[in-house]
Formats: sequence, structure tokens, C-alpha cells
Amino acid sequence: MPSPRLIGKYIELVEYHLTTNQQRVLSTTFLPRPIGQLFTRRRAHSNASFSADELSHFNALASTWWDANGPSRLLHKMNPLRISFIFDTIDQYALPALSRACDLHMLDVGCGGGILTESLARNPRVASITGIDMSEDVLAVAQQHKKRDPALVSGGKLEYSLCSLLDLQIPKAASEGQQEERYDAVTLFEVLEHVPNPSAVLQAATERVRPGGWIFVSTVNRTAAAYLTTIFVGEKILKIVPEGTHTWSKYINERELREWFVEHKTNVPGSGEHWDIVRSEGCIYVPFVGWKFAGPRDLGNYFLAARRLE
Amino acid sequence: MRFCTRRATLRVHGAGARLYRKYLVRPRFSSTLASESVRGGQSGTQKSATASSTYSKIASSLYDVVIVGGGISGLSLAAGLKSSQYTSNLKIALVEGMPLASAKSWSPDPDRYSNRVSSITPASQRYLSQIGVWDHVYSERVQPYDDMRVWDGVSGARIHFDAFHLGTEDGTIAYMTENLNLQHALLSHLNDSPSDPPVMILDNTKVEAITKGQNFDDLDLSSWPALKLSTGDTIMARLLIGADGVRSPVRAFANIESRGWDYNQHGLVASLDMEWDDRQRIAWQRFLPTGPIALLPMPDGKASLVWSTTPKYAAHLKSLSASAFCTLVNAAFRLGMVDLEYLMSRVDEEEIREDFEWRDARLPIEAEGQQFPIRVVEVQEGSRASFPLRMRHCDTYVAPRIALVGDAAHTTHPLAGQGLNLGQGDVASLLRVVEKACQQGSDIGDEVVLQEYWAERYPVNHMMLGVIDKLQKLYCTDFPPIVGIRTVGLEVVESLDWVKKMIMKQAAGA
Repeated sequence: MPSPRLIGKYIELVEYHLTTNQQRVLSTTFLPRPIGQLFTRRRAHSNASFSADELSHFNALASTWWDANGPSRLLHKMNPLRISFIFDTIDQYALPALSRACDLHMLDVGCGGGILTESLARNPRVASITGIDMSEDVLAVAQQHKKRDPALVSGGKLEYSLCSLLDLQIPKAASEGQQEERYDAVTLFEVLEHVPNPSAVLQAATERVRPGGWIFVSTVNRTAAAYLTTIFVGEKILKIVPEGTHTWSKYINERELREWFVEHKTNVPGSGEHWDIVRSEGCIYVPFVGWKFAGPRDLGNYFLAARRLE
Repeated sequence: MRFCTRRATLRVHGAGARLYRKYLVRPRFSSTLASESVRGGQSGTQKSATASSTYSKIASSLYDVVIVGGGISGLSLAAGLKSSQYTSNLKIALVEGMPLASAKSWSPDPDRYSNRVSSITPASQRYLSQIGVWDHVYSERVQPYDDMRVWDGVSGARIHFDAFHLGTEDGTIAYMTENLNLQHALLSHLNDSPSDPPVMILDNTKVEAITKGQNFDDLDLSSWPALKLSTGDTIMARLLIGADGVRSPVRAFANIESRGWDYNQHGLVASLDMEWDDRQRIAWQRFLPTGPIALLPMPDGKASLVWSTTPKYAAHLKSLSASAFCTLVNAAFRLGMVDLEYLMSRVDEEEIREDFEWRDARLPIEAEGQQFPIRVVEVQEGSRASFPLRMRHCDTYVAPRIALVGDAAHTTHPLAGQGLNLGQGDVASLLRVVEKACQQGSDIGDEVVLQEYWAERYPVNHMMLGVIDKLQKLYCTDFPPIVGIRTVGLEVVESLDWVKKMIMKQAAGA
């Protein structure tokens, strides 16, 4: 009986040989998925229908989004981890001028029903938060839920907008000499594995961050282990994730994401931008306990934080 | 919306540095409903241009936390919330049906002690110190004890817990404190420590009804509990805490079921005077088939009695004269079961006294103060009272926007002195959960947030309640095989120091 390590190596080898060099997502570094094709229904290779499938799936989940004991329970349980990831990273790795910052203007891409967005709006360190999503029903649920909290209604920190990140305008500078107005932090939690063109989304996100600001990303690695846990066990066996939420072929490896940053955002002459990946952690869901930062970052779910140095 | 440009950041850092640094140290949860002055200090916060008109009309009746019940659990939670830097901005109301003025202005007679006393474990005492309440306790009325002697009335098997010998940390098993002392300390602390906004203590106010809030057009408060008070006001809570005792109306509103059973026993309490003050600081407990009798040391040669016995005996003991009562208490610690049963059935007080003196003369003199407590000579007038004993535990302690603490969540037999301490443990845990939620910006009434509190406390409480219940069942019988088994068990534990250490650590709430 070969050791688990050896079995793991075999699976990696098979994955490597089965993936092709098809240009799909992030330039040449994101490689799709003959293995994925074995396990998922074949989808038409057009951007429009990818989006339509995803949108209809999330629209159907809209009404139960805020049911803490419903299909979105795992999202609710992930919330404290996300918030602690954001602020612990900022505190630990921020440039001195920004440590313990209490004045953050943030953008939450793919805010969904607003679980994270509302918590950020109430957080004393956040000055304003804008949540955007493309799913109309889900955003309507978010707006409805916002009305349930007087702090959010009267606080004026929270705004929702039904649009895609690519369509979100960067407000122009008020006058000559000033920079364009950008965000202190942009969060893309569980977003990149649902969009048809993650590289464009990521590029647009980085353009909206001001120097010294942050991007926080969380997504899932495209590994056999991730398929096993998130789709097979999560969706089919335990049914703690609504079926059809995840598509294995759209998962993004942590290495690929880092390589994208290195290629596009580090010391690229002429762009004036320089980004630094400061933190990358794997996380796992422990049933009855919750989400914890544990495990290797190239195996299952992971969080990644990148900081714009200039 | 103005964003933070690089120049704006530099500007804040330069000119508003002091203001910035002030908020760098301790960002505070901006209370839902706090006034402008609290939020106004943070630079860059945009005042809402679209503030709801409904909100401005009802803002004064909205509270972040409403605690129903002004007992020790409720007051302790309010004090804890106010002491923590992350939660001190919350708008808190505490509703209590009885007047609290007498507890607040309590100036006790040094010769008289209240009959409602509790054994405060080191863990509870640490929590109360941490929130700054223990300083307000009248320490001359608190009796720490470091020795506990427990024995089986039927077989005589003994177990001796000695804090010094077993090397526990502070050498104290627990602190005997009057409940009034604690209540007074909590109210003093709430009164003295400045906080903005202060806790609204609505005493002498009953909760007439609890319903769901209203759904206005621009503000949907249908998930917020609304309390109709006897003053005619209605207040709404982001988080409603039920600290309202065994028959908790908040628990009924939350539709949480409480399971358990009644023991066919009443707990008789009394404040006693001992013959002389031997300064030994020993807690005594003897397990009789009708229920355990416990004598707990109080300062100045006084003691507190907790005698769990049948309702018939409890009524009989309350009806006796003071001297006959004291005789029977002494007898319960010294005599064999047959003799004791005989004495308890006597009605003539002179007969009781004579019979006991005759039997007592046949006991070795050196046993007094070592094997059983020294004599009780007096019982404080009006201090004899009894209450029925029961075991109750809720399925869950939380519901959306509702949490239960203390007796509302669980009730237990007093034989292990754990009832109040489990409540304090609940309060400390709930405080941590609310603190974390405020720090992160989560809604403190969110069910997922509150479930962490239930998940932390339920197993601990369940285990403790289970152990106490089994002990009660084990010792409230004189069936010989059971007596044999428990005697052997007790003697084995007595000889194993490490087991005793473990038991004491658990009981101390570590």
C-alpha cells in the first residue's frame, strides 16, 4: 500500500499532465481542468452563460441568505475569521503610518447578502464600506437586512450598489494635483472562483486601491483534496453547502494567484505600481467548531492579503 | 463620499495626530444608538444624510442590551459590560421588579448575617475582581475557607479536602459571602464608575409583556424584542438577556424548554452562632439519607446552615424554638441515623435537649472541632427559611437576540455550592462573546455569535449539573449495597491526593 504522500504525488502528477495550456483566465497561469470535466457538467465556454448560471444559483439562495441555521450557515461562521484576517493583517503588516488605522474606506466586492459588509459597517475602525454585487435578488436581501439595524440605517457608513467591479467608476480627482480617490482596502472573499474572468476582476480591484492600501482575497485551491471537501463532502454528502455553489474547474491555486501578482504587479516598468503579498493562510472548516486558520495554503480554502506599496 | 487619499492621510497624521492616536489605542464600538458626541470624535466619519426619521423618533427607546433581572447574575453582567473597554459604549438597561434601593444603601449590622449566602469560588472571585466589583465588597463580612470535611452519615466514611495540603494556588477553597453583600457591591460599582452612557437601572419595574418589535417602512425592528414595562414605557433590545431566575419570562418568550425534575427536598437555611470562634475556617457537610446538612463558616464565630431535607422535616424545624432547633442541628452532625431519626420525631423541646445531652456526653471530646463542628448555640431570629430544591437545565441558552444566564438557564442542588458560580461562569463567557462581537463589528444579537456562548457553557454546566444530581441520588438513600459502594468509593478517593486535587480544581471553576 503506497504511503499517502506517494498517493498525493501521483495525484499531482496526473493533474499536471491532464491540464493543458489553454488560455482561460489569468493569462497563462490559470490552467483549466480536464479532471474538472470528469466531475462537473460540461458548461458552454462563453462568459455570458457562466455568469447566468452563477447568478441564477445565487438568486435562488437569496431568501435564505440570512438564515443562520440555513444553507448559508458556513458563510456566517466564516465571518469572524474574515474580519480577524483583515484587521490582524493590517495591524501586523501595515506601514507605520497606518498601523491601528481607524479610518478605513473599504469596498466589498461580491458582498452577497451583506454578512461581511454589515459587520464592517459596524466596526469602529471602518469609516465607510461599499458593497457591490451582480445578483439583484441577493442585493435586495442585503438592502432589506440593512434596514433591520438602526446603527446601519443611521450610521451612514454602509452603501450597496448593483454593479460589477469592472463597471464601478473610480471617482475622478476633484482638482488638479490631487490623486484619484481610491479605497483603503478591497475585499474579494469567495468571489474569484465564481467569475468568468478573474484576472480582469483582480486587475480592476488593484486599480481601485490607493498606495498603502490592501486587497484581501479568499478562494479555493484547484486540488483533488479541495474537490473532496468542498464539493463531494460539502455539497453532496453532508449538504452543508448548497449544491451547485462551487465549480471545481474555476478554483484558483494559491501559487497561480501569487504568480499573477509577481508578473503583473511587482516591479513592472511603467505601471508605477508595486504590490507585495504579505500573508497567505490555509483555512479549514471543522464541523461543530467553525472555520480555523490551519492546514497548508495550497490544499483547500485559503486567504491571501496583498499590500500596495506604491 | 470622501475617500482617504494619500494627502488626506498625511494631513490627519500631521495635524490631527493626537486625536488619531487617541483612537489608535482603543477603538470603541460605536453604540448603535449612542449620541453624536461619541461618534463625532472619529475623523472622517460621514454623518448620515439619510438618517431615518423613524429612528430619530424612537431612538430613546432602543437599547443595545436589556438585562431582565437585577440579581447577582444580571448586575454582574451589567458591571462586566461597563468595565470592558470594547463594550462600555453600549446602551444598557437593567429591569428589576423589586426595589434595589435597600441593597444599594445597605449598611449591615455586624452581629447579624443574612441567611442567603453563597460560596464564591476562586474563579468567580477572580472575575469579580477583574471587573472591579470585589473592591466594593465588605471584606469583613466575607469568610474564606480552606478546609472542607465531608462524611457519610450512614457509614461514617470521610473525605477531607485541605487546600493547603493539596497545594492549590491561593490556598482558599471558596469565599462565603452574603448575597446582599455582593448585590450591594455590584450596585456601588455601577453607581461609582463613570461611564458614558451609564447603565439605566429600572428597578421597581415589572416587565408586563414581551413581544416582537414593529416593522416600520424605513426601519425593520420585527426581530427586536420589545418589552412593555409597568411604567407604561416600551423599550426594545438589540440583545435581551434573561437573568430573571427560575421562572424566567424571557425564557418563555424565547420558547426555550427547560428540562429537569424536582427533588422531594427543601433547602433550609439559617444564620447560626457557634459556641466559640475556633478560627478554623472549615466547611462541614454530612450526607444524611434525608439530605445533606452543611455548616459553612462565617466571620466572628458565626456560621451559615444549609440543610436539605424532606419538606416535612423542614416545616418541623422551622416551627421549633431556637434552642431546640440548635440542638437538632448539633444532633444532625453527631448522632447515628437511628438516634437522629428518633430525636427528629420528638416534639417536646425539653425531651429533645435532655436526650441529646445524654448522647453527646458519650462522644469523645476531642472529636469536636475535628470530626464534627463545634456546637451551635444560637440561631438568628427570623433567619430560618426554606425553599424547594430542583434541577433544571435548558436545551439551549440562546435564541435570536436572546441569551439566558444564571438560574434562568440552569438550577441545581445546593450540596456542592455551585449554583451561583455556574451563573458567574455564564456571565464571564457571555461577556467575552459580546466583547469579541463589538470588537469585530458583528451584531451582538446575532444567533451565530451567541451560539459560541452556549457552546462554551453548555457542556461545562451539563457535566456539573449531572455530577451534582448523581451525588444527590447516591447519598440520599440508606440502602445497604449502595451505602457499601459509595463508602468504598469515597475511601478510595480520600486516599488519592491527585483525584482530590482534580475535584477541587473543577469545583473551583478552573
